[in-house]
Amino acid sequence: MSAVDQPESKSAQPFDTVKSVNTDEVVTVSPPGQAAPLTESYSNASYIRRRRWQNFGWALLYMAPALFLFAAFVFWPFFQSIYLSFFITDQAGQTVRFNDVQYYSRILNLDGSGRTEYLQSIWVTVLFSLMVVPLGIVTSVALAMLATAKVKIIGVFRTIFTSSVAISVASASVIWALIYNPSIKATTWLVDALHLKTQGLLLDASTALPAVAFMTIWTALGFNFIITLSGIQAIPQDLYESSKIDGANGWNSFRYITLPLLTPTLLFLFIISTISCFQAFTQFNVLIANEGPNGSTNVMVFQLFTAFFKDTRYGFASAIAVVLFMVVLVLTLVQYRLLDRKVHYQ
Amino acid sequence: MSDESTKRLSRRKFVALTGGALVASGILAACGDNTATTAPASTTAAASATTAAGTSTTAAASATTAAAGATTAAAGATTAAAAPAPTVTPYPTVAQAAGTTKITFWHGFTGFNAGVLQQIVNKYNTSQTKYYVQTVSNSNYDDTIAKFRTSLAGGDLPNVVQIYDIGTQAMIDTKKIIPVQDFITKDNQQALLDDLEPAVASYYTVNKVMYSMPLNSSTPVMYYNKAAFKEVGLDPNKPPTTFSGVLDAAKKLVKKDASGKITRGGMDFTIYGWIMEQEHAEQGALLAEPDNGRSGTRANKLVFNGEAGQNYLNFLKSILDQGLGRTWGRASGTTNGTTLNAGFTRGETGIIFESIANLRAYISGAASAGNGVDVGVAPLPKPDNAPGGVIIGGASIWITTQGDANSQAGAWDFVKFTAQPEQQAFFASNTGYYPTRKASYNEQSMKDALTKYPQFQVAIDQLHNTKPSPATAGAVFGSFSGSRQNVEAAMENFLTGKAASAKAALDDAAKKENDRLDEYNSTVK
Repeated sequence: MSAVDQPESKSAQPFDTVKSVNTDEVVTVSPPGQAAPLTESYSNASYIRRRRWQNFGWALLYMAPALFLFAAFVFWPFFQSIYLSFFITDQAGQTVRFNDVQYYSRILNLDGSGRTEYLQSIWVTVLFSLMVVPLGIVTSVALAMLATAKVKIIGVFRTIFTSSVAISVASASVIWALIYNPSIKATTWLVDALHLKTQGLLLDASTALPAVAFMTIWTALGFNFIITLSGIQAIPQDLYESSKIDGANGWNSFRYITLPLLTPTLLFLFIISTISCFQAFTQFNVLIANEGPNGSTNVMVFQLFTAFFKDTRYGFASAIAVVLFMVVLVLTLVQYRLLDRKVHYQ
Repeated sequence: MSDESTKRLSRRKFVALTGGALVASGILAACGDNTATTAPASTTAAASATTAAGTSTTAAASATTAAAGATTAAAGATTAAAAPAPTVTPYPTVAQAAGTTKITFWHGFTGFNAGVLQQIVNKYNTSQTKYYVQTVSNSNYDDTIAKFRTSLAGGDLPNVVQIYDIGTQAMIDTKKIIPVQDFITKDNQQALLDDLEPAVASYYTVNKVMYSMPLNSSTPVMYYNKAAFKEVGLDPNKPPTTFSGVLDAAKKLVKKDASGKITRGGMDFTIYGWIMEQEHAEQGALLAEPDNGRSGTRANKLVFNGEAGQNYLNFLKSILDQGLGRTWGRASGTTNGTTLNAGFTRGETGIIFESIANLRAYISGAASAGNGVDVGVAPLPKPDNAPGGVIIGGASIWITTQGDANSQAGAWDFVKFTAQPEQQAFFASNTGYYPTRKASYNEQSMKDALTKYPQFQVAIDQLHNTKPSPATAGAVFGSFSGSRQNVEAAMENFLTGKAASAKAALDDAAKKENDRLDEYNSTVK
């Protein structure tokens, strides 16, 4: 048997047993116990094809509830919004007339209007991810390493490091809105130290995005920490023991054992964090609630939200959504292709 | 080889699957949050999910959650700033009596104002036996009109809905509303119409048709700290009335510490599109052509980039440039408005421009801050030699085409009730909005309120001194509700120095907004 067929014949196995329980017809084909010789004798092309269709039918039946939900709440809206992005709508969301790809050329500044704010919004989103993702992962790895220390009340520290996972982004944003609020004066020292002309970190074009990014790192830390810690704990101890015998110090065992074996986890975190950065909205809406000083925090989802709820341009909002989707898709594929080579699967 | 490759594949698959599952659970979590926070918002989330796409479904869902969160935050902050404002707990509703027809009423109030409104509704529900009004609070005006719009397609509209001033043209264009003028004519209520405050009536009258019944109306005024005026030798009874007068006063009022940092702003402000619109009225300038969209021809060109807007922007810029005060950012920012309010009540700023509806919150806030702030109110300052005049702000209630003739009659009956002098006096004296009826001033509750808060009279005089014209009637155009944010962005671009001049900043915003208005106008027949 070829390598290609292997997974398929493997996956066929569970359905065989299911079939023999559920239908009369199949029971005659493969009675339990005699399945192997029968399959062997019938292994001609048409039989295998029939079996595959049957399996597919069963698979479809079992997946139906999930597929239905996906179709209703993901696929249909998805295709609907691709459709809408080519139309101008009225405020009730009914299409009024075909708009060609004009919304797309406006977003990408291909229509010669010189309006760069939408491209800039993509750039702000990228910038935001660049601030949040690397720093978030480095911090979580550092904390996870600390949390593997063999000290007495390590459980308490692990709980502390994890705690932010229990706080929703919305509540965290409210907390940070207060911290950054100039009348609370908690961050006035920083405003003074940076010699800002404005009154608060969120009011200055140069600090607004980093301030939101910092808050986002804090919020995501709990989740990142749990994933990283479990990744570290999954590394077999005997590797460390044998490295110790070979005379490796703490740094070496981290550099040559922990880090390489953690790469699958880190790849996962990297992709998930990037996607969540591109979809980030809550913190922007709660902390700032507009495009930010000089448009410095005008991320794509906020742009989308504005177009949809404030401007009632549903077609335009859909076009932004499609562009966002494409950007995330391409980025994820690129990350996967580039980084997967560096990932060590044990 | 094959063994290893399948293993590798399954690892990859595992990573991908876990990722997918987490994203999915994220979506669910967001949705769960959403329904938990505000029931009404979930309708919008569902509607947005159908229109916004794949990845963005998550975004849209979390968007509403966030919006809900933001408003809660803002509401929380407001109450904090307003300090001991009377009970914030929602006012209890009365039960629906058997045999009454239910009238659904969406409004944008929360907290204290929602309680005052509920008392009026309760009074209506117990005063007659035919109808029962059920209120649904939608966090704020923006959410209310957003929810109304997303419900247009589904057809599940309320019978009565409160919509803010700038949603007027958009509401007319939905074609799902019945002008109150129709009911007024049918019901022989011309007397009611004649007794409405003229400025208020003219705002909600488009091309000679009165479309909605004003419920709560306000205008901006200048608030100033009389104690600080006295302290620096300014006459607290002669507050400045012009931009140059304000600048002179601010020079005396401003206080700085050793490092040159402002500790008391002469005049502090938020970047607020509403005040910008008001300054147009003060100078007799239009925001939209022709005639602010009021003369029967739909507004088709926005002209807020003229002299009037530049005058106001240059005034704000000189406050910053001369170090006379601070800006707390755009008014739409989550905590910026409350920062301004808190600063004023704590005596950290001498002068602010804000709505008269905030009067009571400032007085009680100043009392609880205990810094001796004496709240003074003066007409909104304007450039020297400008004719003056303000535009009514606030909200009105609309009757929709929802339900049968009986429900619509009930909706009108309720709307009429809220416009009675007694109800208007009750609402005004408890909140700080103007009564919409002239007769309300004869009510005892209103007289008492005016004795207790004499500052209120200044705002009433300002309103009565405004000469009716298209400029002071305010603009109506379909894309108004989304336009303030672009105007505010332009104002900020100039104040931060990103735009070279006030004209350049406003020209850019006008270009964007005209583009949007053209598109809007092309979608209505």
